[in-house]
Amino acid sequence: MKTSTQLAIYPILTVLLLFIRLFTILPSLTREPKRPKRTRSTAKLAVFLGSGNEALNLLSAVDFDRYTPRVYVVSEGDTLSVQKARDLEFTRGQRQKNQFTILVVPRARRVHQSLYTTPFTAFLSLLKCLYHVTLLPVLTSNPFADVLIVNGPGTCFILCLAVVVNKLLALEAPRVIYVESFARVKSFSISGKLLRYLADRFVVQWPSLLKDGKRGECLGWLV
Amino acid sequence: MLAFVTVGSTRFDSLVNCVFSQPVLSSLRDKGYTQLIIQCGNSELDLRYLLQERDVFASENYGIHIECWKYKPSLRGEYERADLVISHAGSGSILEVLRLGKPLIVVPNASLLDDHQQELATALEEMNHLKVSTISDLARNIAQFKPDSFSQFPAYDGSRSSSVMNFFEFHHHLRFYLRLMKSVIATSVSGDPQEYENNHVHVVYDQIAPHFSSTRYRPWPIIAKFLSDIPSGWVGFDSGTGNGKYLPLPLDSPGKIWTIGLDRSRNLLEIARSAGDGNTIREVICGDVLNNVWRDNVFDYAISIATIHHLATPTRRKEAVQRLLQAVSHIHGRVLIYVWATEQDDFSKRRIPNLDSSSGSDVFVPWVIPKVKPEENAQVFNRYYHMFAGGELLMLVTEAAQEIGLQVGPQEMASARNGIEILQRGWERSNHYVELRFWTSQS
Repeated sequence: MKTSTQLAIYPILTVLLLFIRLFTILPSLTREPKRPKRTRSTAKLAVFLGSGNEALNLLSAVDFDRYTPRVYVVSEGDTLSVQKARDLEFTRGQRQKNQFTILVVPRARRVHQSLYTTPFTAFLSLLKCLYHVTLLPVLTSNPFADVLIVNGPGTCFILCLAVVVNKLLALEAPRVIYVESFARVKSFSISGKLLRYLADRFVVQWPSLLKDGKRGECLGWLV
Repeated sequence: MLAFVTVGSTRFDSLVNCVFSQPVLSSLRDKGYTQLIIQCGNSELDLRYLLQERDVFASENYGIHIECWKYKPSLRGEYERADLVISHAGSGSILEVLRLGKPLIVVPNASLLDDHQQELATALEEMNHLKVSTISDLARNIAQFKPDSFSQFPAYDGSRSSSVMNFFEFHHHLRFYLRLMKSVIATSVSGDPQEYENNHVHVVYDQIAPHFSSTRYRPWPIIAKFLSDIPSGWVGFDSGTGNGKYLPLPLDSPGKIWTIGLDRSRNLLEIARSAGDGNTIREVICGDVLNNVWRDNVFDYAISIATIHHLATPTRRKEAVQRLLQAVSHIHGRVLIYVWATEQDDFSKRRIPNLDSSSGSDVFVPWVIPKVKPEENAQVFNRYYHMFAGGELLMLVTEAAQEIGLQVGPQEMASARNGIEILQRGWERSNHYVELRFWTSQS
């Protein structure tokens, strides 16, 4: 009897500590971020590319000399986005050749995929994200990115989960800027709901989304 | 005239089949359309047996030439040629068509997981940028469609997108500069003090003058009060005037008193000359606070704000105070001195190393000029400061005064001919200050 209580206490303690840690790193609750640790004049920029052009549109106003190198994260099979990223680098990244990488991660959920099988595909996706965001930077001491822009598609939430893992472990983590899709007028996407309090900055394009008065800021149309 | 139908990268069976139906084709023909191009994606349509990958199916129905294919890497060419676009509610398609200024009918796909696409289409319809239609109403909506009735869609505004990054810029760059500027490095003075000051004070101020000036604009309250209490018509000087921020004071009655600025940095004096509204040329003099710049007893008042702490030895600091005291009237002169304190308030957030504060501390304070162009590096200049310990300034003033034959204390206790009375001393915003007044026992 006594032993079983003792055994039960460890997982409970672990979960409790994990929750406390999670609350100490939530951007919505912590006002003074401790970053940056390093001092450089450039920043490594990672962007998650969804099906549309929205993420790439956001990049059109970004100074490539300053935000270099760049990492494009695309969903598996999204050859169109890979091509778009290459085109963009070809036209705008001329001054520094090949200062970009393209990471392919498995989709958390395919279009029309059943909700029941989603956890499995999402887990596969998370493993790949953890490899790039958490493990590889630790092994090579080359950080994943300084800033990560995500704008909606489901897989980007998985990517942000990997960032949260970094924060939980007090590893170097990019600042996450979530930009809700232009398509979202009155209701948040699933990623938007999930990342509202996890992203360091939460941006929407339609003011009607913020009527609930909770976290977020509206910058108008960014597309 | 050409009508173009697009369903995006997935499938939208009902729209494609609807477009092939007789009512839609009839209303298109009635509106004068002779050509119809359909991008059908993976839609299951009745004619699918005709369609292999990359195949184009063409036919002539109800007097309309119909072309149907699955995908193209870019639909821009079709959008540009079309006189009407009928699209699924994908935001990418909607944006591209509206940016091209083409009339657009949007048919949201009701079979998707959630109907947020409908929201975007409805919101844009409310703003009169497009027409939303259901499958069943498509034929009627085409018949009633008025392409000229829509309002202009706004162009892409890159400044908004860049504002997304501002937040990060702030943290990544500015916070770094702020942190560096707020830090203090312990140092010790060596070699010839004059040369030391040249290298670590004067050169630095000349270099950082424009940037320094842009950050020093608000006078401290006690100094503003001191200057506004000076009687009309008095003439004084500001020893180490910097960008001349105190020369125009008091602001509410300009010209009431006349403050002349003294500084070592020519670059700062250039700025000080037009201190204030810029319409008045200020009198400034280039000189060292240790030199005998002024005739004795010539001024009514003097201020020395954040200057004496740049001198590298106690003797030189004392001499600077003596020059200040000698230049003002020994009968009615008033003097205010400010120096940086070892005790820093939370407000300044400067990070001070553990310093021995009994006799003050010699430190470097980095001044950072953020880079303007990406290829530049931020420049860091180390300025020398002597941080004054509590009571150190009063001691310095007392010694300086006594050495030149001035009694320190209230006039009632007068035993010498001339003396100074400390009117107030204290600590404000990380600075020690002393305000004093001359008195004479001869009446």
